[in-house]
Amino acid sequence: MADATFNWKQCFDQISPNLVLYARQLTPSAADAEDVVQMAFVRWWRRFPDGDTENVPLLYAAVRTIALDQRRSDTRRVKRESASEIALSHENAPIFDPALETKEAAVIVTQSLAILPEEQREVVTLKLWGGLTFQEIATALGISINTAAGRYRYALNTLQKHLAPMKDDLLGEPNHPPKNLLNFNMTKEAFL
Amino acid sequence: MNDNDIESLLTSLSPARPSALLSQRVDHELELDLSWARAPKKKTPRWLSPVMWSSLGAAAAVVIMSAQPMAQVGGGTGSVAFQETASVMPMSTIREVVDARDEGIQYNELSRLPEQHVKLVSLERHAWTDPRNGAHFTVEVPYEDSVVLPVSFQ
Repeated sequence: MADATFNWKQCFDQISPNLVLYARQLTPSAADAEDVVQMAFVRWWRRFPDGDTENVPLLYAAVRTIALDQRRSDTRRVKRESASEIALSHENAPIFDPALETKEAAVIVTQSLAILPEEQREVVTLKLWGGLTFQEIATALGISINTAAGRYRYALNTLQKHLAPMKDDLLGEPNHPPKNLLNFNMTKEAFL
Repeated sequence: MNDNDIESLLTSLSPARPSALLSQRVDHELELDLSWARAPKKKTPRWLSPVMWSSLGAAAAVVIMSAQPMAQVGGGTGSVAFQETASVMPMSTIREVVDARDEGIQYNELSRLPEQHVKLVSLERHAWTDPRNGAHFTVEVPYEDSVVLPVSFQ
């Protein structure tokens, strides 16, 4: 039994950040996203207790189904929020790990993702952070593989247009490190 | 800024870790019903599924072919009709070359290239047996085939 518990925890630790990130594309808050991930993961693990990666696309599909169901029942959310202050406390929690060197990029990317239509944002999240193939995305979302690839392409084009003016800040030139990285180095040198 | 730049920029960001409370809630919910932990793992190997489908297809083909009556055995010019009954079992089908006649080199009318013409005479023997009384049935079908071989002069 201890082995089984260890297995689900190991699997959950690995996959839950990506699941929550995906759920947050479909839900209004971090608390809602975590609720959705909890329900989806429990259902999925009871069905596939071996945690085979082959079934991970089904887990994302479960997250989606539950998120969409939850969105329909507004009353449930209102009731839960009134009962939980924790939910309100991380309503606007960052969707990316706020590491020092990527903090600025994380804010910009979060804002850029927000301008994408939901269906494109879903595909980008599943592809880049979920690590799913277009075939798996198509199955999870119930769309054709061409539609999935097309949405991904449109999303990248939009992001490219939106992020291009901030290219130097985000990527940095070989001779000109990003501003935040430069500040970090200067601070470091000051201490040395 | 190309697609690769965008993709590497996005993937360089790690999704935020969920709250510790979430893991506890999942743990609690999974412990409420531990039937999943006791259930035997019925993991089917990945390769088994295509094998099962192909064997199913092969079995279907065998059923269809065995359902068709063997109305005609042999073919070509000397076709022989033999109605196989349930009591008669096929034993063998042998084809042996009896004679080969070289008809020499001829030139093709269209391509004007040399060809060697050979006439092959063969005999096909079909044998059946009736297990009830040990009777043997043999049918011989003569064949004559014209074979054309390309020739190159070197």
